[in-house]
Amino acid sequence: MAGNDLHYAIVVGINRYPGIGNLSGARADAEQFAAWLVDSNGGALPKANVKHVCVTDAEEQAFAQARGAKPTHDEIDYALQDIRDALKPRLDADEQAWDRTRLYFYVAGHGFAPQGGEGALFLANAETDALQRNIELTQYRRWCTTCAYFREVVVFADCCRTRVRSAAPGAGPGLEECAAPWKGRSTTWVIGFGSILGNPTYESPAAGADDHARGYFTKALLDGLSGSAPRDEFGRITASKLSGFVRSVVADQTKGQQYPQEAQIYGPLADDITFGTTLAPPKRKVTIVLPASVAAAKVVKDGRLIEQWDGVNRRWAVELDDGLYEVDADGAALANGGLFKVSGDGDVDL
Amino acid sequence: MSTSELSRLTIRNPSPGLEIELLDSNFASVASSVGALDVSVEPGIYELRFREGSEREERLLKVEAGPLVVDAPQFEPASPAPVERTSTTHEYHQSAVVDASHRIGIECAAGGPATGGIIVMVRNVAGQDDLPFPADLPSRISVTDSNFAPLVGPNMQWQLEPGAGWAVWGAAVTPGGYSLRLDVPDQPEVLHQALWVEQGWQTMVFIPNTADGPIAELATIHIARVGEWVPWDDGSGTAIALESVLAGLRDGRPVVPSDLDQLLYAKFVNPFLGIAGAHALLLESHPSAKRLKTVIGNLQQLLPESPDVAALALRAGPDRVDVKPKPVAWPPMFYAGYRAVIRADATNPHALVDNSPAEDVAARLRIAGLFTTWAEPKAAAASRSGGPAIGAIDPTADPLDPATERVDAYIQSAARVQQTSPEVILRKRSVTQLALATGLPSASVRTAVHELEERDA
Repeated sequence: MAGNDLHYAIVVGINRYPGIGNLSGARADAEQFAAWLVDSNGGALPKANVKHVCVTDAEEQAFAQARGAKPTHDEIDYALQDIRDALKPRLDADEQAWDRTRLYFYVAGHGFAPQGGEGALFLANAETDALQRNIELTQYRRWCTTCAYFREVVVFADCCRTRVRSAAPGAGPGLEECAAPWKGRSTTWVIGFGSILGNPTYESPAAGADDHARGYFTKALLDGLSGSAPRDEFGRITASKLSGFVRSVVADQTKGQQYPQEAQIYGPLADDITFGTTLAPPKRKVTIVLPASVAAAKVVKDGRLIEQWDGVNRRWAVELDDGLYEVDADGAALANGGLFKVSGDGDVDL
Repeated sequence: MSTSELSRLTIRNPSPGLEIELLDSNFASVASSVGALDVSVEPGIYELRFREGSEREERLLKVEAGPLVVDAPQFEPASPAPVERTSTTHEYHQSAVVDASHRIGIECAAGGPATGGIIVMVRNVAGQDDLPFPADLPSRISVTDSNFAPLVGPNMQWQLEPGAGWAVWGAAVTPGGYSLRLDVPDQPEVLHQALWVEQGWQTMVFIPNTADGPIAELATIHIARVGEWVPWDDGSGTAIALESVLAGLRDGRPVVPSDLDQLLYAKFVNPFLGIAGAHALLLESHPSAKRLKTVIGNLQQLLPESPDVAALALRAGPDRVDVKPKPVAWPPMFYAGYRAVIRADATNPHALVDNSPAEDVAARLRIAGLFTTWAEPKAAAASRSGGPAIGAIDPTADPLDPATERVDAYIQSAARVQQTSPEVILRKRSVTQLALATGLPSASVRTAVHELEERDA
């Protein structure tokens, strides 16, 4: 059995929106996140615990109009219902098991900030005059908190949070509200959005086919979860550490956009929840362009030597983790004092 | 590492609304604050991020052992209010508001029933001076009383200076609820935005004109003692801090000036900063109970009748504040506050006054930034072209009651998921459950349930 057998997940990715315009990378983002969930170095969930609320390419092609397009609100609620029904007997049999429970709720697609809500995902059958076909993530999170079947609830949403002048409210679960938390337990949570309230999120331009497009937020999130995010003193990736990393990377990579994306990950769990990984951080291919005045140079991070220049090629290719560095050139003048930032592959012109 | 090897990093001369965040070389947030930062850190490479309103700056920084003082950037942020030390002010805009404020002060001092005031300013902010100014402003923006009748009279006229890019409406009024009526050409609905006037105070709305015309959702609101609005010194510092707090709230980020409590004691106090700051505090993951109690307690002293203060007390909860909120009859100006009142009303039906405007407008809320905004009922809107005064809202005038519609939609959806009939859902769900799920006041839900039951019967 996989490590986190009491962790469950609902993963939603929607590319095809006949009523409001299609996306390219949302479903692929969801699949990537689901892959991380079941990876033994990632979320370590059993495959059966992950509910994919996605359709296939062939199904998508068949949705000629919004009416009939899927997934809809109902499919998501069915997934939540199934998870609750699978978990509850296990908790009833062993109350202590509750301490090991977690629900992941990941969504990617079109979204907006509905009236009274913080961020909602449009369902595939949304239309410009039927924007109430959405799921409001805060309401789902609140439902989970009220029912308290899970000790921890983790919500990630890679969708726009732009405001739309509309009466359309955010839609919560159609499931019955719980009269009281399960056995009086108290659920904690963390929620992550790809942008701040009122702003859009973006997909990175894809080389090649459309389905190579990726949301900047999901990419940074998965990079962080897969080892790029800093660890705490116990070597764990907490949501707080993940938040700083994701915000920094997403901001850097979208700074050319009309509304540079500012990711948010917050909630009472932020300092406590941890995401396990044993993987080393991915390396970035960085080319440092050294001026002619430099005779010797080394890359240093917080006083530690990382790389030494061989003195030959002034376009110096190095592989670095994401982070902040300094080129120490024995006193030679460098742009920005030799300080530079890595948040993906690229050139550093000093 | 011993403390002697640490560096003490201090930011010099930050303005009260300057957001400061320090990230380490792995992008982990080390410290963040608003209006001050003084922190001990290990030597290394850091990123300092500054933000004030729409202005931002990032700096990479090498920190070595010992003290390090970094000068704060001196932004001149933008503001719809014409106050000093912003990049968007004009002296003649300031004068127009100061004059309007002065007139309100004189009228209030005369001893009549008008002991509060309203000022609305629409202006081209500096840098956008050439924008066309709407000559038909009086038909686009008006102030209505609590019955939604427009305030008209010899002292209640727009002063229009389209060539100079500004217009001001100002009047002394009796304390209570008012609305800003927004009738934008080519928009399908007429909107209202909540205003509240407290005795002894003037509520001031500054609306920027844009290429799309005046946009009320981008407005800044000030509350100043009648006749005492100043756009410089303390008045300017408070206004700039308010812009940072509002920008944070618009983004969903908690931006709380470190000296918020002191700002509420400033000579030219602006309680709207306190209201906005308290909402920002409530956005924090672990807001300081002591701070909340102090800020909301101070606001209660300053604005005892304000629905926004009652809403804050409800939003914070009885465990965190000493204020006993009065039932709310007029929508709070802050939408987050109104939402808290409606939510509280689901479990405590005395949070909101039944059959009041605060109950009535809930089903017609529209998203319009931070402020509570709702659509005028269609029947009333139909009379706007040359008809009589808009008059009081008649809830029966709506062809389809929006509250009933919303409850019905929720019940249908729940029935589909639960694979049962809507009647069963209607029977099983309590008013509290329906109110929580639909975001409507409990009285509206009770009426809707009654109507649906009658329809089904």
